[in-house]
Amino acid sequence: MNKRLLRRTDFTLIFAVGAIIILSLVIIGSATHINEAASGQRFAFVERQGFFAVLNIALAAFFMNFDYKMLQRYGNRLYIFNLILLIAVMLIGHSALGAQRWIQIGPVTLQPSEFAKLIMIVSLASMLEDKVGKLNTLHDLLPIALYVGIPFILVLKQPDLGTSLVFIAIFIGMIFACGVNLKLLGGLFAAGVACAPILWHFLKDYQKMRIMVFLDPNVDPLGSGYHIIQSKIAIGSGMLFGKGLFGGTQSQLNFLPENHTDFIFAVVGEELGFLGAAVLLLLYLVVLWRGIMIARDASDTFGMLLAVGITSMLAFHVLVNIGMTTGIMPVTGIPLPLMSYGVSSLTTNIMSIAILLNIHMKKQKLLF
Amino acid sequence: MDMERRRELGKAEQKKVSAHIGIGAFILWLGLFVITVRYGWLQLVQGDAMETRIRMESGEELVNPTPRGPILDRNGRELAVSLMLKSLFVDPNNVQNPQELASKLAPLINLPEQKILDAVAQGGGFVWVKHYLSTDEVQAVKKLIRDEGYNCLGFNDELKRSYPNNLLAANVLGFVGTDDVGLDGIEQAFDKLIKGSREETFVQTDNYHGFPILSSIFSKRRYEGDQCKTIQLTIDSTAQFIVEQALDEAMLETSPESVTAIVMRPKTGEILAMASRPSYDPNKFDEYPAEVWKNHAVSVIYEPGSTFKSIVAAAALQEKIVTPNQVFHDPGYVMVSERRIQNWNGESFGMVTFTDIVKHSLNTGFAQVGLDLGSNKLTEYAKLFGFGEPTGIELPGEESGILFDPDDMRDSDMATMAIGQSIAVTPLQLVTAMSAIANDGILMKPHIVKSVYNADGSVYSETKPQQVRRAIESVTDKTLVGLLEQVVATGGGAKAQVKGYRIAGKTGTAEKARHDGAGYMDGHYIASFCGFAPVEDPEICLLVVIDDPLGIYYGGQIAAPVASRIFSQLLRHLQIEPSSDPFQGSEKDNVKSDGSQSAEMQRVVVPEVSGLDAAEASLQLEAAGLKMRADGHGIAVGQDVEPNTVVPRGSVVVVKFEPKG
Repeated sequence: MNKRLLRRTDFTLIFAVGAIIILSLVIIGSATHINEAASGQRFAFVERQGFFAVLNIALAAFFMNFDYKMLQRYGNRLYIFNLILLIAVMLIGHSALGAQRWIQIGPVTLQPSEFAKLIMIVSLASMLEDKVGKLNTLHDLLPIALYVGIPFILVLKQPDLGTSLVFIAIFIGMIFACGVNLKLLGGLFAAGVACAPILWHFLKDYQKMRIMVFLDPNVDPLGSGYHIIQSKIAIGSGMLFGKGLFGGTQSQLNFLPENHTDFIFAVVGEELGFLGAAVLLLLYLVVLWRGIMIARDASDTFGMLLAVGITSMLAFHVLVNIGMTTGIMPVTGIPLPLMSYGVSSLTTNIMSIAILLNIHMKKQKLLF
Repeated sequence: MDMERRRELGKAEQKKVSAHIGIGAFILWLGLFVITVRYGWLQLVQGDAMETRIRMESGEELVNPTPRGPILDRNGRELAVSLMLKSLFVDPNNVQNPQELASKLAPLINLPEQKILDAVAQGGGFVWVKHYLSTDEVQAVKKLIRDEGYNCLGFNDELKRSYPNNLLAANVLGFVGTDDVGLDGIEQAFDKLIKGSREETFVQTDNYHGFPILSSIFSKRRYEGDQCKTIQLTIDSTAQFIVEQALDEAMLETSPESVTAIVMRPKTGEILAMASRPSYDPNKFDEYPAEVWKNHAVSVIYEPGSTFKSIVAAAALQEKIVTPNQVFHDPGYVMVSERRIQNWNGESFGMVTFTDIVKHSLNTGFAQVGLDLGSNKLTEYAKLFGFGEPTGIELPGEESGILFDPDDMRDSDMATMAIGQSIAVTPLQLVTAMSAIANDGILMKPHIVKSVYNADGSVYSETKPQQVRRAIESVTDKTLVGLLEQVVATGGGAKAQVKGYRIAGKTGTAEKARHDGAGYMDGHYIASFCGFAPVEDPEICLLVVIDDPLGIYYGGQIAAPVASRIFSQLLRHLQIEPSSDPFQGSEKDNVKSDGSQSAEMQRVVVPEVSGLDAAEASLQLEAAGLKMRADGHGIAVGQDVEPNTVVPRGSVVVVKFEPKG
């Protein structure tokens, strides 16, 4: 990497992402150390997450030597690879928690649907690159909807409702940026709402339950509603200053399952209080703000769309995850980017940030 | 399309995209704002409510049954303790085969099969099978539960009040009924202070295992503070044992209705021993008739008879109505208001001094003295010595006794009161009055609680010796003590003597009043002795009351020997130097100077302890001036020094114990 590029590095973004990752390691440690104490490896989760964070950052630094623009050429090939990966999960993947989402490769369990989001963004960006302002009719939109629809259905069938909804968020974010006819988008949305009762039948029982529980957590306080109730209690009890790191009781002592993955925000809320959670939210705000700025300043449409897709994905994750832990969104099981424990998610997010940094380095001024 | 045009087009596209991104960003900020408000609401507004819910969920209200406080003797020996024992319960809902369970369980816990079947038949989820299992039983049942996989059986911790010395001081200690309520004695009087409590502690626990979180273990309050006070009595269990042993012997020898004895320290009013027979074992108080629960020393009144003459003599000497050498004529009997008052043997002693009258307890003389004193003075001095009102000792059920209304006394009443009849006192009042005589004429308030300790060992309260009043002048008292010493040295109380010690006292033989108060029961007497030792520096004051003995009924004949036995052992136990001859003062100093050496050189006889349990054996040996080392537990089966061997005082005797059966 030459000096000119280094000077173009978005240090604000790197700082915010670095801070989130460090906070993530601390909170994962807090959330898991009690339950892992029995196995003699109190911080096994932290070590694992930390290892993959370092590995991914090194990898991302290496990719800085390449230009993101070359990705555009691989758009369709990546799309095919994505479909193969998702079909592979259906065939050889292994099930856990009632869903078939994972592929075991050596000691690492991968969740292809995580990577699928980023691959989808790249493919869609390259597809939409020449369609700016040309999405005015249903005829214009349908091929794109189909393009996203196939992986969307594959992920939905795993079943992984949360991730499939991310696909929709990415899709909407990117076509919006392309200047899709808003009436068309509104019509599509209305159609979606109209189809909801039909869709309802396609949902698994537990998914229906989740939505019912979202409407009223006390429908099933010890079952599906349990998660939301516990999470709200944990966050609420943190109050202004929190109970201190490693001081959370509700989130640590098995009252809150998945406290180191999807519900990690509850641990932050309980242990660090409103102020701690506000700091975390501020860091996300910085990341998203940088994402938007990078999108606006990108040197080409592909870069802009790429950045929009990535920012949409991150924003959707942050909003839905925190909304879910605070009880204003249904439980859909999507992780908090860069915070939640999980190798696939971490890898996807670091790579996404790497692409943002890469777009930033190659912004317009470099052309002159 | 050439590059330039393409770039231009790209620029236009990018502008559009950029504009849309701006709108998208606005929506995003709105979303972030909404969730910030949301969690802020949860944390800042609903925080307190959520905290409350956490307490409900992540913690448990642990109930710690705080044990009832122990009762100790003055040397810290346990008289009453609370034990945490395991009790067995059954969950009838979970019993598959009641008959099989009963047949397997019954022999292990020594219970008829039917009882277990009955328990199961009660149904529900919880029925007690047996309370307070022994350790062996618990082990056996645990093994059964393991081997057979019975999950219908379980243990609960239960507190049990236990009196390790069984009968020892039972009437003082009292007992505890169900629901931890003290029903008699100290247990009743101090119920509020020593009552156990159910202390509820909040402990945060792990959702899966119920493990308390470390921090909440550390912050958990232990049994502390106000709860669980310890009562330390002034009772000396060795002295108590000596007294009770003597009372047991007296019961055998004279077959009375009851015997009572009190030992008090005259200088302080502390009760060293207080006992009566028949008594009971507070561990199983419900197996005894309710009459034996009564503490005779404070709750029973009787006519003191001649022991009360000590008080009358004190009054007469103080009022200068008599002098020790004043000569009286004893006619053998006197008639007062047509009532015949005669000497114990009905005979005349001729010309006698007042000293002789006291020594031989001549009723005729005292009747005259009583008449000379008059009703007011008699009553006044009785009250000065504490009669007619409760002493205020920390024991429940204390009686005040009965005195005459002085304005209502006829001559015959004065005469009978002077010989200790037709008034009623409690044994404690009498021993307290006698202690005043031993204490230079100063009446002390009797007490039996030495101190109360908090659970952390700090002192909650301490009883200081409390002077009630001076009853008679010191000079008068010295004269009176001289007379009372004569009683034991050469008079009616001679059988109370202990070789080497100067003892003062007074015997008494009273006709027993009918329970309905109408006159006296023919042939029923109360024999007593009340005295103190050693005269030169009184350390113990003792009263022995034998109520309605069979056969010989004179206090001097049956109560005095019991007193002698108690005196001799107590004086040795308390390591009180034998008195030297008062007329050879020079030698007295010599004895004192090598007192320690003589104590060391003292030799004692080893008692037989086999068949006793550890507490009894230890008391038995201690009473003999020996120390015990226990080997094993259960019942004594052997001792390394043969019984009746003479060994130096303070030697250690190893006693071998084996479990019963």
